[in-house]
Formats: sequence, C-alpha cells, structure tokens
Amino acid sequence: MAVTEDYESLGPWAAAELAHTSHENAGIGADAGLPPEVRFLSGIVQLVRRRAITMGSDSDLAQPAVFLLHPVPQANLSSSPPRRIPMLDNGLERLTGRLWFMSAAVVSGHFLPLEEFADDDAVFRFVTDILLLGDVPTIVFDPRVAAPHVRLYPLGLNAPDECRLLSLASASISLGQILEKVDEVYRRYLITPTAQAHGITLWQDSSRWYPIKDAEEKIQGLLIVGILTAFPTCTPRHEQSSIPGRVDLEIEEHHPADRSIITRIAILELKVLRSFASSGKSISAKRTCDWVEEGVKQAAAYKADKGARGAALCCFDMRTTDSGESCFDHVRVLATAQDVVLKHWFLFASSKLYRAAFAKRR
Amino acid sequence: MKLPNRGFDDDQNPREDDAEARRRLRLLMLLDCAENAGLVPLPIAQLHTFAYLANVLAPVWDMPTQEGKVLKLRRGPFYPALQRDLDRLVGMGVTLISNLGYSLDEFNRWHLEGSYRLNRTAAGPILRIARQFAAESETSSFIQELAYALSALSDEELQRATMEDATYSDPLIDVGNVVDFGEWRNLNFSANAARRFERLLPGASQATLGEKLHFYVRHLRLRLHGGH
Repeated sequence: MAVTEDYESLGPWAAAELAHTSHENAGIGADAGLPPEVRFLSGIVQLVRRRAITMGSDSDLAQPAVFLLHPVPQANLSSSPPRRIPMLDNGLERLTGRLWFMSAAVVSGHFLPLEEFADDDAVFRFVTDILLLGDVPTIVFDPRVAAPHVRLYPLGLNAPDECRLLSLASASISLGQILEKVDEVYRRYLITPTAQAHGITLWQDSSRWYPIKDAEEKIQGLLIVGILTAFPTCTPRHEQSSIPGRVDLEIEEHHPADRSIITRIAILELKVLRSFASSGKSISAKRTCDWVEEGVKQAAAYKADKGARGAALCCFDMRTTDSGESCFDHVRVLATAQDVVLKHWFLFASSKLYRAAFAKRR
Repeated sequence: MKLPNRGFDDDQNPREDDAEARRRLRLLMLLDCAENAGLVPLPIAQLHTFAYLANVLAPVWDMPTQEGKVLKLRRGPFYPALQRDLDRLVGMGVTLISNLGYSLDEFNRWHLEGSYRLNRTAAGPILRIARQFAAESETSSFIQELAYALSALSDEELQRATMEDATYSDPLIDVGNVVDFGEWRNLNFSANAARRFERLLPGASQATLGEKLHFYVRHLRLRLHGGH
C-alpha cells in the first residue's frame, strides 16, 4: 500500500527542458496500436522523405533501398554482421544501397549492404530464396526513377505483382481526398454486415436495427487505418481535447524536416444515426435532427479552434430506412456558413436490403 | 495464466507460485517485444533495465506496476528473482542464451553474463494464450511500445539508460538503497515526466500514450549525451 503520493515532481529532471524534446519528436509513437503493416508503411515513407531533405543526401548511392518488415536479421548472413542503426528515423543515415530489417515502428533498423548484388533481380532473389523472407511486407525505394516513389509489396516479394506505388512528391492533401478514402472504407468494410465481417461488427442485432453501443469508436479506428494507409505522411489523432470539446478525428501532417511544424488538414466529426439504441430503446427523429445539428456546430468549432484547413460532419446512418442526405436539410445553411462539409453513408442491416436498394436504383 | 508446472517447488505457497508465474510471463513478454523491436539477443543488463522501465513507466498507461521497488546499484537495476526465473526458463527451453561469459560486480562478486531471446516454438503458444486475456494483451501493447521506443537507443545507451532515468538517478537515493516508486510511496518521477509531455506538443495537441513513451526515451537519451 503506497502512502506517499506526488504526481507532479520530476526529481532530477526539469519541466522546462521537456518541451524541446516533444517538439522535436512530435508524432513519433502516435501510431501505437495500429496494425504493424500500416505503421511500417507510414514510417518508411516518412523516413525516406526526411532523408531526401537532409543535408548530404544528394550524394547517396543511386541504388534501391529495400525495407523488410522483419526486425531481426538472421545471423551469418554475410561476412560482416548486419549493423544496427538506432535513431534511424532522424534521417541522418544513408538508406540507399542497403537491405534494411525493420520493426513496425521504424525507429531503428539493421542493414546489409547491397553493393555486391549484380542487379535488382539478384536482390529480390536473395530476399526470397536465401533469406526466405519473401512473405513479409516489403517496401522498395528506388532513387533512380524520375518521379520519386516507393513500392509497397504488402504480401512480400514472393508476390511481386501485388504492388502499390506511393508517390513521395510533396502535395497538399485535401479534405476531399480524405473523404474519398472514407467512402472507400465505407464501401469495403461498413456497407453491409457481410462487409463488416472483414473488419469490425457494428450491429448488436442487425435483424432489429440495433447498433452496438460504441459504433462511433469502431468506425473511428477503421477510418484511422484507412486514412493512414492512403496518406502515410499524415498523423491521425483521435479524441483530442480542445476548448470546445473532444475532436473525433483530426488529420495532421508534420513537416518532414521540422516535426514541430504542423499542418492541420482536416477535422472529421463522426456521428452514427440510429433508429434504436443498443438496448433496443427507440430514438426519435427530433433527437436525430438535434444530433446532426450538434455535429455541424462541433465540426465548425473544432475547425476554428484547431486552425484546420477543412472540416466535415460524417454521418453513418444505421437507421431502418435510407432517406439519403435529407437528414442534413435542416442544417445546410448553417453548414455552408460555417464551411463544414456534410457527408452521409447508409449502412444496410442486411445484404438482402442492400441488394434490394441496388436493384431499385438501377 | 500459469506457466507449465515443471520447475515449481513442491512446498512453495500458492501466492509465491502466482508471483513466479507472473514474473515468467513478464519475461516472455519482454523478450518477445524486444525481438519485435530488433533488440535481441538482449544482454542481461539491458534486459533488467527494460524490466525496470516497464515497471516505472507502467502508470503512464494506467497499468499496475509489477515490481514497485528495486535496489539501486552502480551497474543499474537488477532483479534477483527475475534472473532466477530467467535461468529457469532457459533450463525449460523456453528462452535461449548466447554470448555466455562472466563479469565482476561492484561487490566483487562474479556474475553470469549472456544474451537472451525466446525459443519461439516453446514460448509462442504461451504468449498466444496469455494475450487472449484483456489485461495481458494490454500489458503486452504497453511493453511493445516501450520496446519500440527503446530501440532508438544504442546497445551502450540502453545499458546506461537508468543513469539518467528520472527515478533511478534521483540523487537523494544513494547506491545500495531501495528505489521505491510504487511500493510504499507513489513518488514516480519517471511516470510524472512522461505524463508531463501530454501538454507539450506543438499546436496544442495532446500527446498520445505512445508518444509519451517515445518522448521519455528520447529525452533520456538527450540527457545521456549531456543535453537537457
């Protein structure tokens, strides 16, 4: 049983010294808890971008850098053991001409030099045939191409055709692009209970239109993964406190050279519209209208408070009937005045209802 | 969750059994997470430092501290019971040891040196079952993020980490005395410092639990190099 309590003292540390550290490393570790593949992709893209603007990087070898999501290299791989580079994420270490063994967090890494390999095919064969790591997520950065990009092999180099190209060019991300990704997540993982089987389950009892209690939270988690996968340079933050309240989802981007410089790209206010609570208690239309109006006001207030470029109210409609965007009729003027984008996605309680709606639309 | 019965003393009381099983499970988690962070094989000193930091920083993630006190030694924290369990796990084939050697400590006593990693075949099923329990799964997430944060340190920096840890390096506690941060008092400077980062992000954002651990380790590293 502890008898002395003190939650303020820092002992030999001084509070005034801490701000510099948090500014210099802002965003590092903010992706804790996300799937390792998502963290790996985001971390490598940010690392390559940071290296590209670090002094001296223009003399880096014109050879690919290969990153394996496999943190510990096998022993006896070559005459010299793989070297570990702690703080790799500071961008001071050359990346190209090396095969990297990385953890999901992309903080440090071990590398083997690639100079001895005749060509790219030899590198790929070394990974698949000698290391037997052809099934681990792999990212290749090739500095020789005109438009800088990385290639993500989510299934590893054993499946070289399953490749996704991600541009490294600096381009500002828009709210519209983020909402397109939300739409993609909806179509892929939320639209029906069958789709949800591949991700999360939002229905307590879909036959009676009872959503689960924490549906917003589950959707939030799914959107974070989807947005970070599409825009790996971003840092999604959820449930951030601000003077007007708690922000559901905030998408920001740190400057690759100076992490303390932040661009707040978007504020997403998430609302689940329900006919019934998880307990089965019915929810009135008036309450839903108030809920939507509250969402517009929240999004507007958070956008102003955070200085975000854009804000949207994202309504995930789990009610018994799909009345489309009519749920926004009473707030359109307010939303336009406050520069809040309104988006609506209807979640079908069964695949049968989805098919019926699809047939009706055609 | 209880580890296989082999190796438990017959006359040991149930509470000791339980504590022993928890320590062993903690060891497996430490080594598993260290491997995921690219830190294995993990030398003894670094393993005990990792165990200490997992204790002292647990409150940052609102978790109970497994061991709320440790003897302050010049060479850094060392948990004798944990080491006995580790040796036992090696004997059981659940963990592997390499780079064996000996060293002399500050009391002129010889100590076994070595570097540890899991035997995945034996430890994998234990960890899989443990993570089915919500509390163990959450503990594992915390230890994993701490391991990722610690991977920013070189081997030598990790070995010296507690020299600058806010709690262990408290100048008011002399070598040979007990560093108590959660047994009889809640005076945990390390957790306080990590929590303090919450309001120090640029743009008035709040640092996440993950960021707090990473910032703590980065600041510790800065102090190891003389920067404050």
